[in-house]
Amino acid sequence: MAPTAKEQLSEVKNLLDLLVDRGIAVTRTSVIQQHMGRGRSRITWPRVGVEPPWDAPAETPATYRAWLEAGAYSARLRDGALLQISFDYEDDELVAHRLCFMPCPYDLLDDEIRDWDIFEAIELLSGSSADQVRVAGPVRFDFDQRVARPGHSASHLTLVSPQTRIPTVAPLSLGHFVRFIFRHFYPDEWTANAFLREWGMEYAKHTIEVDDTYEVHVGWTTRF
Amino acid sequence: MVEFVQGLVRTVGYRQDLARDVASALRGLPLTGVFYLGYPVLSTAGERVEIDGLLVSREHGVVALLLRPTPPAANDAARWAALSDEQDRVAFAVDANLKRYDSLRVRRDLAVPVEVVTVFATPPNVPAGQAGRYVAPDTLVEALNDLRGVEDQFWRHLNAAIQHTSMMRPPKRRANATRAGSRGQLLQRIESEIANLDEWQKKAAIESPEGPQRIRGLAGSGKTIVLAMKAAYLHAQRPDWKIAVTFYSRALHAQFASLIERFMLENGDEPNWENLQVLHAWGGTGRPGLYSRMADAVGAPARDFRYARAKFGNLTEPFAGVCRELLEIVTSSDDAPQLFDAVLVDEAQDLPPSFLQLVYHFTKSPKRIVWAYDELQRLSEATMPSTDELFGVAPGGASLIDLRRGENDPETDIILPTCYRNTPWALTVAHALGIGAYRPEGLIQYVDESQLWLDIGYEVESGSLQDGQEVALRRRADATPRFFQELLSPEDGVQHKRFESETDQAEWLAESIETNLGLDELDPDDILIILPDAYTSRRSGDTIRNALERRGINSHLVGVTSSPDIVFSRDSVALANIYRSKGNEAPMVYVVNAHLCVQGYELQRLRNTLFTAVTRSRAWVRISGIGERMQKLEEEVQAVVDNNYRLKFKVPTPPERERMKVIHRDRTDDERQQLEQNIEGARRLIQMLESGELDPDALPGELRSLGQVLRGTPDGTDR
Repeated sequence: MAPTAKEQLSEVKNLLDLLVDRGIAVTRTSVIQQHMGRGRSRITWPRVGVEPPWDAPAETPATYRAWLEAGAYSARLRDGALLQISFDYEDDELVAHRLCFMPCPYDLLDDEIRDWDIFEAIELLSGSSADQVRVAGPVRFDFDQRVARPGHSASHLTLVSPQTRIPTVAPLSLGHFVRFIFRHFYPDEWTANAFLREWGMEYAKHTIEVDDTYEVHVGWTTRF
Repeated sequence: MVEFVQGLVRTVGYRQDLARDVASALRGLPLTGVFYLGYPVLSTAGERVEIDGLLVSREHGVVALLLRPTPPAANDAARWAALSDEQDRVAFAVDANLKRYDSLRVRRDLAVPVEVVTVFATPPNVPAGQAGRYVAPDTLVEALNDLRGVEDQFWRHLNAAIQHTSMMRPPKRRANATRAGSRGQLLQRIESEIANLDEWQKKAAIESPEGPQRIRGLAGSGKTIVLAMKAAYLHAQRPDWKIAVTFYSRALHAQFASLIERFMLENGDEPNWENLQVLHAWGGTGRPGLYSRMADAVGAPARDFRYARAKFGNLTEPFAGVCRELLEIVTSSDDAPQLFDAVLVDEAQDLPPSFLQLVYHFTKSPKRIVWAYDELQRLSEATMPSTDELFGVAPGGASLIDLRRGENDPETDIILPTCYRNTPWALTVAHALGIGAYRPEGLIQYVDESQLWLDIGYEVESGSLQDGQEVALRRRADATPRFFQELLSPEDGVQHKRFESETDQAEWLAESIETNLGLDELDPDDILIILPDAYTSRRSGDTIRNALERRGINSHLVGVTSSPDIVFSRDSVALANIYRSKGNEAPMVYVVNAHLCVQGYELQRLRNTLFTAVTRSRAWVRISGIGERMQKLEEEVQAVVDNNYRLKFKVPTPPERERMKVIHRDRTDDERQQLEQNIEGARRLIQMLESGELDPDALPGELRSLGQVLRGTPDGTDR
């Protein structure tokens, strides 16, 4: 059964606490429920400082730095990657989400700077040669029923380029996102931490258009 | 008596002599007010209006003085017309400038009288019917007697307008502070009180000697605002000058730029950032600093953080190292380009002497270098390093920087004695904890010159500041803003609390902050939680943040979950370690885990940390910690309270001060490592003796008695 807004908030907090507790994440921000009026609320991170420009290209180091400085993330992993976890509800029905994994464009685990303050390290590394910047854009699962139209599915995956909208069969649950990221991007942590492998998934109603199912898309089977 | 504030006088020659004569005429007059020389500089319709002197007095209102050499002949109508026009332009500019302030208007008119007087070096022969006032220095006073004064209700507002401090009005309206007597309302009143610069701040901001100037004061005495005002003033007076404002903390960049812009806009002017440069001392990627500017100027590589850390080691040494490296290049070639006409340095206590020496080399004669220094930020150090230690000496040994001055010359060494940030109770507690005044084991550190206590606003209540004597010090009434005593109380100003666990502490903290944000009508950005120990701050911070989150209170860990450049946020309570807290302040400060600063082998550093943490508070400070060590700290704080916020101690003799420095000093990384190994060795020795694994008699001669003591009583019996 799909979680309510309150349950989702708890689930996100639990996840973030565990990530920090196990040393997978270095830090996390608060998890809040923002009430946006007309029964709509957002489970997200709070605003600190200047709001980063959300329309800037997500795949640039400048965007990474803007998100980091503004605290616009849910957790920061040891290698500097950011997780953004945000769910929109209307009266306890999920209507939108933003689940984003933003790899760090710099090698923060480099021996020389591994123990540095991240902002000092980023400042130094952002002045380095462009050759040393890693090419790895964000992996983002978005869902928003309101913007669905042909060619822009309600739930989709964006990666490599901001224009991509690879349809997914349904909105993701937190469990789907967490398992996907850690299984494929952090295999060591995946293997070492049972809680990741055991994190439950909820299966939402499919939102994918039939025509999209004939093309390459992202899907999963419901496990009963 | 009229106060004198000597700013930059335009050009040398007749104006300086005439200015001296005018000052002599005014000196000793029984007036209430200030005479500004070379201030202000106004703009109207894009045109600069220069005023040579401004007398602002209760008795005679606002009198702008224009200094001119020789008066025209009585029949030189054209020149007299030009002089009259000049007076009209100045009068209009001053009138227009002051009319912007609602507090100085009555309906559409300016409520304070404004006059312009042209002072000639020799008595003028004024044609009959000539409009305006024209005098020589010896007839100036007579001319003033004709002028009407300022009504009482406008006097304070007039001073604020003249000193441009009306731009320092509180940025927060505090619309949510509606409950009478809430902390939010009290803050509203406190913030509105800090509108006028005091006598020392005025002097420091405007007085401009032909050479170096030192500004000293406690943290919270207004040095940054004074420097910003000075930068704006120098830039307005000398727009062609290359002026640099530099500092240690990155967060000051935005503060300086904003203050300077605001001060200049008050005059209808804007800064030219090409000539007035606000530069972090070192700089960073994409952000040039003063150091990198100087390196570029001599074609030397500007070293970055990675190079410096790799070559010079720990946290404080890297910048000093790269400055020394550049200084060697500069002094070996001896032809450093003179980049700056004036350099203003804030937080000089945090900058290495090698940096200040570089500044010296790159500044034109007469070396207009102004440096602001936090007194007693490190409680064990001398008043501050001497100017020779800071700036170096010439090859023959002569001082490069000399702060001596003539009797009526502008001040070169200004102390700002009043602390506007901290309540007198918080300040006294901070000093007491910092030096260990009430520590049963004795003082931890002490200043080299006891005179410093008097300089920073204490007075001797009993005893004497002579070495070896008992003394009791208290804050001087004139060094404490009145509004603290009127609006706050010592019991509420400083509180302490002990807990059995970090969880208990975190729960109490969250509950207190919930009250602060609710009943107390404070905002999240009014609160700062300080974690004194940087190494454990993240873990402790998480415990606290979880407790806050459970009560629906957002929080962030400065420099960890968000940018180190942004400490406060409207919607989130800030937690910061001591390094991120420096330079910042908040009305409500929680110093948590204070027990970590009570004892240890680098006690001076630990106690300095505690001092810095407590002095971040603008109104209320809460000191909390865990266990037995916190109990010891509570006893020290309580001793301050029980002694009615006096500092009572025995002034240490020089040998005692030296011993303190040795025992409690900061250690290098190698020393720390060695010490920890020795402690571990001693611990192991004790274990072996206690378990019987080692017989004390087996120890070498000099250690045998120690072994017996560790094992039991000196006669060898067990405890």
